[in-house]
Amino acid sequence: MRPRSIVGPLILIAIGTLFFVRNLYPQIEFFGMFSQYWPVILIVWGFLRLIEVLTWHFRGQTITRAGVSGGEWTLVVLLCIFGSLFYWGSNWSMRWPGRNIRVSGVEIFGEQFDYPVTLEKQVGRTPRVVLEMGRGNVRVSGADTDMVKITGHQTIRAYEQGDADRTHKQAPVEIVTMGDQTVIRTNSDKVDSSRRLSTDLEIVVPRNARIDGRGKNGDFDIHDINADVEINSDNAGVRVQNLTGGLKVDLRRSDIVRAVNVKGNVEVKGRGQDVDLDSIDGTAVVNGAYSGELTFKNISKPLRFDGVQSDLRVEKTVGSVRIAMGRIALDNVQGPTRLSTRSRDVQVRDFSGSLDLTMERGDLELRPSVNNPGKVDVRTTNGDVILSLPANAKFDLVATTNRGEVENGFGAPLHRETEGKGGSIRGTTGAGPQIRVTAERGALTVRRAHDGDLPSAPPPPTAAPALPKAPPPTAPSPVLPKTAPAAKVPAPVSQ
Amino acid sequence: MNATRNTSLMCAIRGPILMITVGTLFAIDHMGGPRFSSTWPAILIVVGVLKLLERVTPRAAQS
Repeated sequence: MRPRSIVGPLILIAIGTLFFVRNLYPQIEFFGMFSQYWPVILIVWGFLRLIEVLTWHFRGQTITRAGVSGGEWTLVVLLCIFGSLFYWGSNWSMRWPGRNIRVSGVEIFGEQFDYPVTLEKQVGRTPRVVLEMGRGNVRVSGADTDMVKITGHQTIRAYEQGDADRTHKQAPVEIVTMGDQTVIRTNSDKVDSSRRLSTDLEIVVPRNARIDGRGKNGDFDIHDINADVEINSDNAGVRVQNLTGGLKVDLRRSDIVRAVNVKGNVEVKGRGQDVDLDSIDGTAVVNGAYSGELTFKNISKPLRFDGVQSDLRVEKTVGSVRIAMGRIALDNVQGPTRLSTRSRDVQVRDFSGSLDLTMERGDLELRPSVNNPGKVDVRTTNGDVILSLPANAKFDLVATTNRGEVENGFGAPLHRETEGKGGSIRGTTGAGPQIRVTAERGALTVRRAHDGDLPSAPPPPTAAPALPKAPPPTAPSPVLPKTAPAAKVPAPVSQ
Repeated sequence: MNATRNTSLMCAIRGPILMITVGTLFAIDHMGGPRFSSTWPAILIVVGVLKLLERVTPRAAQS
């Protein structure tokens, strides 16, 4: 008769004891212990089997062919997988501090414990409030008060209640007055970063409080403040509304920075995705690498953007400026405007004042405004250029391309010349600003712009004004534009 | 008879020893030592050594 292993029963006893003890002493952190010490189970198991096999051997009993059966191996493999997963899960934040890559599955380890936070303190009417947030979102709103009021909750992820309680005691939310500063701190740096503590707060502060927010990971949502706001975080989304002071934002990583209705200057620095500035009375300066879309609307003072691929200066943004992955669109801006970019399509519409544009790769659509046009200087390396000029504008145009087709859709005073593989369009309509377009390689098109005419619209509308004078449009319209202008305009599209 | 007994002993020993090796490597990993990803070849070495012993044992037993 073959001897049977004692390991099976032993495992049953061990699991039973484990759950029994866990139920009696809930404060012991079993999952944490398991994630750290599970390899010991393997070692003990292996030793038990080894001793067994040796004992059978020396007693002269028959030995099973394999020391460890197939079923056992399956269990061992499962143990390795789960053990590694638990270990990896509980140590993720410890090994990669500062980074928060959430993998669904990691967060399922442990339970979530919530602790409410309610605090208030008298601070005067014009305090300087420093927020020391670790992880977690904060919402700050200004009100007619001389108190700081905090409500919110602290969330601790732990395997056991007792452990969460300890963490909560180590890292309380506090309001501390230091000289003229009022510091609101979450004390999350006082506990091990693997504790996964996060604090979400709603704070009401006096309207004239200066806000200085610092955080590791969490959003800042600030509104109705009559003083300067400064935010510095490793990873944050920032939303600011109705600010009388200035705004300074410095982020290592962000999904969005949005500022609406700010009276002071706005300065955004760092890396992130989207930036959205709307109704800014001061200057706007944006520096850094942004992978999403940048939108600037209604900025009364100069806008400056220094990106990885593009640099932009605009004197006043009446309309909008949009900068996205492959496209830059300026709509109704006042110059002097300066833009330099690499590999982006550019569209500049209704701009007034001067324009200085340098681009490397990408198509360009230009449409100067009728009012107050300025000097235009454009240099492109590779890409098509479409220039829409107001029919009644006065200007002095020299547009050349070294290689590419040239098309003069404007007509009369402008004339086309071909030189080698490229060509140029030159002409003067009167005493007006200079327009210089120099393209290295790409098609060049000059045409008439009309109000309400989209620059990307097909050519037929260019000839449309000729229609009213032409015979009743009974013929199919596609035919008309071809014949009508030729009959009416004395000097048609020059060759 | 003795030889076959010894061979089957070597066979039976292999599993437990392998298990202990894997457990030890993971334990070292979790205690902050070298990572399992760099120490795993030790398993191959252990398997190789056991295989060698298996071959050597019967002859030793016969002599």
